[in-house]
Amino acid sequence: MGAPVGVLGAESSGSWAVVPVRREATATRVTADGDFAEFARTALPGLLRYGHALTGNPHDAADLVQSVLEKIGSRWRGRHAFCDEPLAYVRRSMANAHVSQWRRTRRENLVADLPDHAVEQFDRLDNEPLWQALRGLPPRQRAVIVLRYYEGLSEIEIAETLGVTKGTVKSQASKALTTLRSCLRGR
Amino acid sequence: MDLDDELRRLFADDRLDVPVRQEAHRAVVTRAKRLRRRRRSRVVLGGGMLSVATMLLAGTAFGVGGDAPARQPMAAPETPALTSFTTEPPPTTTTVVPTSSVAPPVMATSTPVSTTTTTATTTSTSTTKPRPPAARLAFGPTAVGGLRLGMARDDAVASGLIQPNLTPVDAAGCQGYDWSGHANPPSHYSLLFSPKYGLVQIGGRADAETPEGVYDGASEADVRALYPDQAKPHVGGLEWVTPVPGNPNAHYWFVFADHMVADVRLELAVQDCYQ
Repeated sequence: MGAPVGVLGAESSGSWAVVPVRREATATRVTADGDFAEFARTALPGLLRYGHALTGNPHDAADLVQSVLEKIGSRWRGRHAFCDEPLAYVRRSMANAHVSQWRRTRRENLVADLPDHAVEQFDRLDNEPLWQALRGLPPRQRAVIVLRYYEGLSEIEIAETLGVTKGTVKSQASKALTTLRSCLRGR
Repeated sequence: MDLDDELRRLFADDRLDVPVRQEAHRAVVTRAKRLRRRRRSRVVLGGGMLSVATMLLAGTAFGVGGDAPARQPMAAPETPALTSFTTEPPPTTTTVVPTSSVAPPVMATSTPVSTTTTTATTTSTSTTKPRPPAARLAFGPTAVGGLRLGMARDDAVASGLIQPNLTPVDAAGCQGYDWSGHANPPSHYSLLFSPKYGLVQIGGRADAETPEGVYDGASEADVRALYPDQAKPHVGGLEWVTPVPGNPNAHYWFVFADHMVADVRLELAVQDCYQ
């Protein structure tokens, strides 16, 4: 960040230099916030849908999207700061957060328009046997399945996304598909 | 049936869509800004926080705003989803306001505090969320309202205090329950039973309070002062795991949201339901 350097330099050379540097920093910040707001606005529907696939229910999807977007937004310096498309970065972050977040705490829902207390009809996919079978998978196996069949990623890409080896991706996918087949056969 | 095709079909289904709340992006931006401010405050005031924590540990009698830089004005407080419990009496017998032999810290009021610690003086103004006036439910050291860690699921169900969660069995084969009359979404368990260890987790009560005095709304500094030992790190990063005084077989899990305790959980230290 340029601002701290400018401010520190100004202290030794006279206070006049502080103002322009701060103004510039503030303007950059405002622009970055506006840019992030626009990114969030256009990305939210797709991210919630992706989160739904990852977590298995819309409430967890909202939790996941919200927490990941907040963290990324708090460090947002513009789209140019990402090596690739920021959306891809957010989606990878969501997959990782889903895998590492063994225990979830419901947060105040800010992003999804869901009834807070209606316990019936949590998920419009609840009648799908395959959806129910997916729900029984451990988070990492589910993430592998979603990255492969929802995102269309290759095994290497999935391995890079989740920070595991290609062998792990293979074995997790194999276990997941075996479980799913077995669940569906048992119905 | 081709499972590959079925999975692709499922993930293309319109029913995966989740309706977006109006102005959701603005809410996210606001929260992101708040997070950024907090992070900067923490960096700048780390030394001050250390001083405050030291004073708390030394038993200095002042309020609980040690991590005040991390706190926002309380005009729009976070509302943990479970706060709907707060106005309701606990389910059974144990509605005890803790009477611990440990001198409780001054936690009930959030009067602005000024300290003599120069680095913290300017920021120790807003503190712990005020304790709600409703009766508190004593959490631990071994039981909560008649539900004892390790007890068999059938015995717990017979108490009438709990009901099965919408996803009653989790991926590890443990059985998840909610408090009666307060259904959680699927897979969000207030209570969890292991076939091997019995009741391994009790949480999900906004009226919980530990004998040492931690309740929903307590600050990170409160928890740090009251439970200085962390049992083990946890991947989530938002949870503080600490031994339970008086019960070597249990841990408290304090789940934080917005730097305040959002859930108190009493859990068996050894169990096989989750990491």
